[in-house]
Amino acid sequence: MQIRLTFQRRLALMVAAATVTVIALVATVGVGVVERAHRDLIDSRLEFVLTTLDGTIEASLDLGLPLGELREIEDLLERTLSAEPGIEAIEVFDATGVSRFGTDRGAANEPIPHAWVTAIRNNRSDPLWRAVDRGGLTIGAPILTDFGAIAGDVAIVVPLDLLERSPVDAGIVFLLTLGPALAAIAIVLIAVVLAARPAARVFDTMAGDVAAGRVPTGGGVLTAAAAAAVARIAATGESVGRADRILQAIDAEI
Amino acid sequence: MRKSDVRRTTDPARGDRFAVLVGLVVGLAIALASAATLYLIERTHHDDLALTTERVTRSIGSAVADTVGRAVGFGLPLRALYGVDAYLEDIIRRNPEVAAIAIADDSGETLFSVPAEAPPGTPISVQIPVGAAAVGLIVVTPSQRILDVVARTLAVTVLSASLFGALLAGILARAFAAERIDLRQGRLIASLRSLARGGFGDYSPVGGDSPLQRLGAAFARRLAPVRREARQALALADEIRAVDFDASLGPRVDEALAPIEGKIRFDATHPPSRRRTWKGWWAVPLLLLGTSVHPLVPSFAFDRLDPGLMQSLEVSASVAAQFLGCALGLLAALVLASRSAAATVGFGTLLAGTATAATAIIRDPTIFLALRFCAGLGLWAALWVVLLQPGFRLRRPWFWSLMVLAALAGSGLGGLVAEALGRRDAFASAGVSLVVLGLAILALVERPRSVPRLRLGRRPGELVAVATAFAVAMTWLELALGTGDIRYSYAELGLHFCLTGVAAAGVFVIRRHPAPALALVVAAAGPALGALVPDAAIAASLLVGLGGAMALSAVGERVWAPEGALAAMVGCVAGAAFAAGAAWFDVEPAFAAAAVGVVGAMLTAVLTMRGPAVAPARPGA
Repeated sequence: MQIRLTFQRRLALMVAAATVTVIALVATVGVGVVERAHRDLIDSRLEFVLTTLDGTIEASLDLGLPLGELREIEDLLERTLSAEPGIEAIEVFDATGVSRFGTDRGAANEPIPHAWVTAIRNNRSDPLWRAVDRGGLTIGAPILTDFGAIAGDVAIVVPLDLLERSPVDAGIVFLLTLGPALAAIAIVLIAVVLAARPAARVFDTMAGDVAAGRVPTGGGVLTAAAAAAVARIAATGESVGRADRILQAIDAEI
Repeated sequence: MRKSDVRRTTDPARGDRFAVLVGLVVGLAIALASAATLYLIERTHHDDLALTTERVTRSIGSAVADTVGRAVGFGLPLRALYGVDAYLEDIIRRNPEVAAIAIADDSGETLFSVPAEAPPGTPISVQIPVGAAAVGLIVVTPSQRILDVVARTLAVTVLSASLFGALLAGILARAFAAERIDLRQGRLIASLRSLARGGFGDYSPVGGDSPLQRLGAAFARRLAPVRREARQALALADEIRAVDFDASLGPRVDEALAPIEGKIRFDATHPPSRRRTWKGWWAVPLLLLGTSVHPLVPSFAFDRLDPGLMQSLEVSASVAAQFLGCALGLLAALVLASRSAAATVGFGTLLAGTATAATAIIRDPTIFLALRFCAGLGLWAALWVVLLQPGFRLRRPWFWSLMVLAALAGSGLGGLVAEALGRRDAFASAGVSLVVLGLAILALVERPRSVPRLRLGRRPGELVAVATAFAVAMTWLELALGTGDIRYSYAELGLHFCLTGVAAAGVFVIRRHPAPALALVVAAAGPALGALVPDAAIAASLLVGLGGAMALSAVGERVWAPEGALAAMVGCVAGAAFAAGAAWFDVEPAFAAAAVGVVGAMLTAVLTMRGPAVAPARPGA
């Protein structure tokens, strides 16, 4: 079955489809903005915790003790871990990549994971480095001495989904979008069909005049051409009728 | 029907009004629906964001309390701590989530506070631990920054989406009105005029999906009995002549037929043409997708290099490369269109799509530059073969202005997509969509019947005006705004493109304009205003759209042939080169845009004074 659509309806459907697409895009932007804001806040908190830890350790290094001798770091790490929800582990390792202090006691004096080494090596300009390893995200910062040398790094490990987890429920967003979108579709469909009516009405009035054999009146090039054509059709009709009658008469004579 | 009949027989203002009305309604509907949706989304997640902000604030408060507690633990009284204000200022500077921090002693007296007067908000208190006791409180007031940023981005998104939707709907409505009303009315009038001259056989009815269909059918019904009667009369005359052996009736028959024979034709002088919608309209979605990444190109190039002169040069070179590619793509299309139309469209969209999508995975500035060149080359080669589809000359009064609006609306779309998905994903999705669209229209493409020749020397003044209008708009929108403070606010960037488009649409509809040189001065005033007055970027974008469109309207549609398009692209390349030169002298791109406009206006004034009179305004937009 072939569905024939009028000009107005076809345009109305296309414009309504475009409207829905734009509203869906807007809803996606809304979700993206909320997710990004959420991620930025968590990121900001993690960066602050990390830089504060880093600053505290650097301040302790200023006293002249080597990194491995700073026993109070362990307390600092434990305090931070208990105060900051979401952080799984904190690790302090020296410049050779061997863990010195950490909330995971079993890792002490063990070499750090390869992914961390790669991330440190690849980080060129950012003050912080990031590595994804075994479902966790590690953010680290170098510990600098007074002379600018790197004594080691401090790193915090958080579950990967802490940053990736979306606070937005797609189902709720769909429901929130549905009502306004349907209202917009209704407005657009009605408005486009109504907006196309005046033009159609002008042509339909003229069509009525032509059908009734009246000469269309009013301004415009189309009206003038239509009037001339109607007059010509009427005149030709009369001429043809007259000729036909004469010919009928001649035919009758034969 | 002659080509010039289109202008005489149509009423472009009616179609324009219709398109504006549809655009307004759609823009308004999208604004209301988007505002409602985003308000609901923001309200639903407001508490989440406020809670997360509170957690950040609490973390900061705990850290400050820890530091202060350690200092007090060394034996310093809380009241006598020194350097506290500077320390707190540094914390606030590095953490925009915090609006104010105060330190109070255990009696609740505030000892330190930055700033002195805490802004309104619900403060969070954290005890200062010294051993097992608490010696005071850290009072942190969270800022509304994140919530304000979210609210502002959502408001900009609503505006940008509304303007994009309005432009898109307006373009659709105008194209529909041109195809279904304007052109069919032109054909009907030509048919009726022929009928009035006696060419009854030349009358052809109007297609079924036009508002003119009833009028056309009414004429067909009026004509049918006259035709039938005339056929019967002629047949009867033939019968009479066949039996008129002594030729006595011949003169009477001739006399009866005299008003008909030789004066009215019932046979068609030419076969009826097949009236199909012009396939060149597919260029609109092609251009929408192709230009959707334009707001993202400057910031992407910006991020490839460290700040400095080379960074500015990289941005200008990347932008110039895509427009240089476009210019060469146009030349390639003019050569290849009549030989292998489908292959050019297929290869062009594949090249443009792949180059755009590949941007999502690259990091190197040189590769990015090469990809932008390839994207421009492929896009315009395909675009021009699609535009040159049979019937393009008839539609020239409409599609040029609609293409300009589509290019600006496309950038608005890109801004929204990038805001939703991120910059790299926006490049990827635009590239993939281009390839899919290219494959979809491949089967529809015909070999153009005629390919226009480039006539660059005929109207130099008008061509310079076109080049300048595009150079000013591109330098302002892509180089000044695209590398400015809002370079990562993609929806806001898209909003500026849409504002320029809306201003241009207004000019195209009103069809009033000063001389092209004066119009270019108006366009140049936009970037100058944007550079000199803070927060005047919106007015600047509107001025750029107004001035640019007035200049384009003033030069008329006759220059809107391939040479006009080539001039536009060369203007964009020249604008980028000018901006690069300005960067050498540490001059902002906005001033470079203004300078380009003024220089172009002077050149246009000189050349149009010497050259032929400026063509009249286009009949429709």
